Parts: sequence; structure tokens; C-alpha cells
Amino acid sequence: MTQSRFPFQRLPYDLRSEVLKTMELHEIIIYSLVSKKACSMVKTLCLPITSARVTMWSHPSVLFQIGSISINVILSLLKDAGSITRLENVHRFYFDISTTDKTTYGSKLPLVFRPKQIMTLGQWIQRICSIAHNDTTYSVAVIMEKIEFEVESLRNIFPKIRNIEINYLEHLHYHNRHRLDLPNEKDIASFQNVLKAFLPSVEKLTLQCGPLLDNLSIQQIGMTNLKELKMYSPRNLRVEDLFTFNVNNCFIEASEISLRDLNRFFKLWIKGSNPKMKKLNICWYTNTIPEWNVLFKGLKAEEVEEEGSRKYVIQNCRKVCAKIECMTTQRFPLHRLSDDLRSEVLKIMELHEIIAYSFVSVESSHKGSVGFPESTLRE
Amino acid sequence: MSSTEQGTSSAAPAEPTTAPESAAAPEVPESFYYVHGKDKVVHKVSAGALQHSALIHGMISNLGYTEEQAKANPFPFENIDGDILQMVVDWCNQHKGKPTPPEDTNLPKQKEKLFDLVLAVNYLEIKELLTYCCKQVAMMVKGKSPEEIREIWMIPTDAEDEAAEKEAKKRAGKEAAGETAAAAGDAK
Repeated sequence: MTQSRFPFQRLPYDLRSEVLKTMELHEIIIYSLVSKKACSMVKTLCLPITSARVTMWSHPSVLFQIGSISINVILSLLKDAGSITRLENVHRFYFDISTTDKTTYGSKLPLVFRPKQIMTLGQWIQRICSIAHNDTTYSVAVIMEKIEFEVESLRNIFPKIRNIEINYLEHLHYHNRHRLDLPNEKDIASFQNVLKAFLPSVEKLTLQCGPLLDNLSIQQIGMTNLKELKMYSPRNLRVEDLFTFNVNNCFIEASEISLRDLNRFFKLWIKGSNPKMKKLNICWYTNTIPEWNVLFKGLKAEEVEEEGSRKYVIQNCRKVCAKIECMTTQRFPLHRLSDDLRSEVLKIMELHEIIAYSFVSVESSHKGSVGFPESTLRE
Repeated sequence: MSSTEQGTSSAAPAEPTTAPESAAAPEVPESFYYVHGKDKVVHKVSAGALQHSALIHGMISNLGYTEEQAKANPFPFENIDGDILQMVVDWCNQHKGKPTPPEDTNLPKQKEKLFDLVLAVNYLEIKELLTYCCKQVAMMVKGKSPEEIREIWMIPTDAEDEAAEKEAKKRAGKEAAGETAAAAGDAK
């Protein structure tokens, strides 16, 4: 049976646009891969893409969020594709496009195909990304897995990226290493390469457990004109680094900073340091109850009650006020309760929560079923 | 001419009713208009069926034809093939005074005619039929890969597009050079 054909390009622009509007979102994205002109056409439709997240790893992907619908375009490398160092050199891969809808939990069967157009991985990523309009929140996550990217190559592909996450943690997981293990020179070089590629233009930067040395330190990153800096388990973070930060919003998840250090930071802030900082969020894991008095010593902080939580207000030499909120994650020793009390707690929980609880430990899976009539569990 | 005379003109706007309550409102006879395509075959269509086409509806409202005038001056659509116009007329007759169902099975399924049909329907401004035709076109590539879409929708590759652009530029350059030479010749 021969496939009937239709000269779509011969239709006037508005009719082509009408046809595309009757198509589903993932179909429009697939159409954009047909040619450069098709891609420009899709761009003019201004699809309501709220965010686009590019993940660069051994199988680069672009995830479009359109309302409750997520469309994931994965470019899976073929086994003989070779190194992914230069994205301009990789030609052997296939597409895997899937759709999920959060509201209906529905997903469409993925469409898998090999492109026939001779384009490199980098060119394809650029083309796919170009369909998002200017207001789309764009982010790139680089997962340092087994791949090394070259600065030039990344800059060519993402010339205007403003939001970047560099994930070194996955790299450690991939190599079965602990995050406290010393990084080797190759890792440092790769991580810094990626960072160097984006640092001049980036506005929001997230670093997941990155190995940094003196030639590109945390201090140097903090001194760049960032709107947002998030650091998870940064190595060698010192409170002195914080003093030099020139960022608006800063989030740090670390264990190296003590309350005494933070107290020093706030004292310096009162004297006028870090004038640009609007928000600083620091969290850490600890087994001891924090001694908050150490944090507030000498700050002349006024206690205020706001929205049910306690906050402390400090003022700097420029009469700028800052609110400090101390929070600890609530904990409860459930397993120290007697079996019947624990059963009572579980009974008022939702079934899916009980099932989640049953995965916590062998004991909880056993205790989780205690006291529940079979009929309840069957529901 | 394949039409037969039926009814009288009803192009004049209806007067406000002040008739006695006892008399039932007289049934207004349906008026007919005539259209022809490239093949000059005239199709007789009721005003109700033509309501679907914003273009023809606008023409009728503006011209205020009587039945005789309409018969003597069929609306000419020289840019529409006769068989395509027949399809459109049939569709309009089938959907006279009825809302179009979401899945319209009355539309001819010949994909070969779909291109001309889309253009004709767009020209005649039949919104519901156009939406349906556009869906038909979109259905052709449902679940297909970009390469299959290219094949079905006859889309050139980037390389072919570039070659065509180069060719067009070259041609435009030659034409411009020819015009300049001609102008220079005239000046001499």
C-alpha cells in the first residue's frame, strides 16, 4: 500500500499554522525536527512551554514542561558512537520522545527513531532548544558522568544560557565513589571546564558537590555577578568565602559552617559587608540540637513572631533590616511508642502513606500491618 | 445549467410582525443561489447551506439579489475545481442548519483532493470544514517519525532548501542584471 502524500509546504503560512494547531504538543515537537524551516515555523507558534531543561550526560535530553504535560526528548548514543567530548563530532544516536501528563498520570508510547538528516548531536540539541520562546525558563544540567566536555563545544551549543546546574555527584555515583573521596585531577579539570564555559554569562548557578581548587575557587565563583548560587556539599567551603559573595540569593547545603562562623558573618553584614545579598539559606545535617544562642551572640537581634514562627531581626549600618529564621526539621521517635499507639498513628494515615512507611525498614513493614483489619488493607 | 426554479426571493429583511395572533406565521420559502467553479457547471445551493461560507454569506448580504438575479448571475469561483466545489456544496447541504459533529464522516476521504479542498474551503471561509480538513491533514502524520513526516508532507531537507534558495537568488540576480541591461539599452 502506498502512503498518500500531501504537499504541506505549498499551503499558505496561516493554513500550515492551523494544521499544526490541531496537532498534539509532542507531535508539533516531532514536526520541528523535520527541517530548519519546520523548526522556525514551530517557533512562531509560541508553544506555551513554561520551562525547558537540558540534561547533558551520556544520553543528553531536553525536557519541555507545558502545563501539566512533560515532553522528554532523549538523544541516546549508539554503542559505537565514540566519545562525547565534542558535541560537534557525535553523529550516531537515536531519538526517544515520550510524553507524560501529571493530571491524568497518562503517558504516550515513546517514539523511537534514528534521524536521517546529517546533523551532529550539538546541532540537534540547539534545534530542539530553539523552539522555546524567549520567556521560557531555560536550564542546563551537566552531569559529570563518564564524559568530559570542552569549553568551546559547550559555549557553541548554549551561547545564551542563564541557568546552569553542574552535577558532580552523579559522576561519583557512577564510579562508585564517596563524595568525601579526594577528586582526581581529571575530574577537577572536567568540572572546571564546564564551569568556565558558563560562568561569564550565567545568572543562576547550582553546583552539586563540585571539586574546586585555587585556580577556580568557591570565592571566585561567589564574586561573579550571580543572581542565584546554590551549592550542595561544596568542598573546602570556608566562612571567609561567604564574606566575598556578590550574589543576590544564596543557598548552601554544607556541614563545614558552624554557628560561630555564621555569627561572624552576620556581624560583618551589620558592619556593611555583602550589601547585594537578599537571601541566604544555609542548611546542614546534625545529630545535635543547635545552640541558637551562639548564632545571635552580640547581634542585638530583636525577636518577632510572624506567621506562627519565630524570627529575629537585625539591622546593618545602612539601616537595612534582615530577618533570620531558624528552623529544624521536626523529628519524632515513632518506634519508641508502644505497638498499639503506633498502630493508632498509622490508622489515621492515608493508605499510600502506610505503604511508604512499610518501606522504611523490615520492622516498619511488619509493624505497618499490625492492627489493620484485612478489609482495610484490601481497599 | 442544472438548476430548476424553486421558490421566490427572500433577500429582503423580514418586517416586524404586527399580524393578528390567530394567523400562523407563513412559512418563508427557501431561497436558492447559484455558484460555479472552474468547469462552469452551476450548482444550486440553498441560502441555509451557504450560511456555512462566510465569504458567500457576505456576498449575498451585500448584493441583495433576487432569485432571478441570482440565477442569472451565478457566483463565479474560477480558482476552484468543479469536483472540489461539488464536494463543498454537498458538505454544506448535508450540514444545513446543523452543528458539525467533532468527527465528520461525510467528508470525502480522497487524500489526493485534500490539498485543493483545504485551499477552497479556506478561500470560501467555511470555518468548521476548514478545522476538519486541517485535522485530516494532521492525522496523516500521527505517530510518524520526522523522516516519515517529511515523506508524507513532501518537505524538503535543509540541504534541498538551501539549494533552492541559492537557485532563487541566482535567478533573481540574473533577472536584475537583465533589467539593468535593458534599461541601459533604452537609455542609449
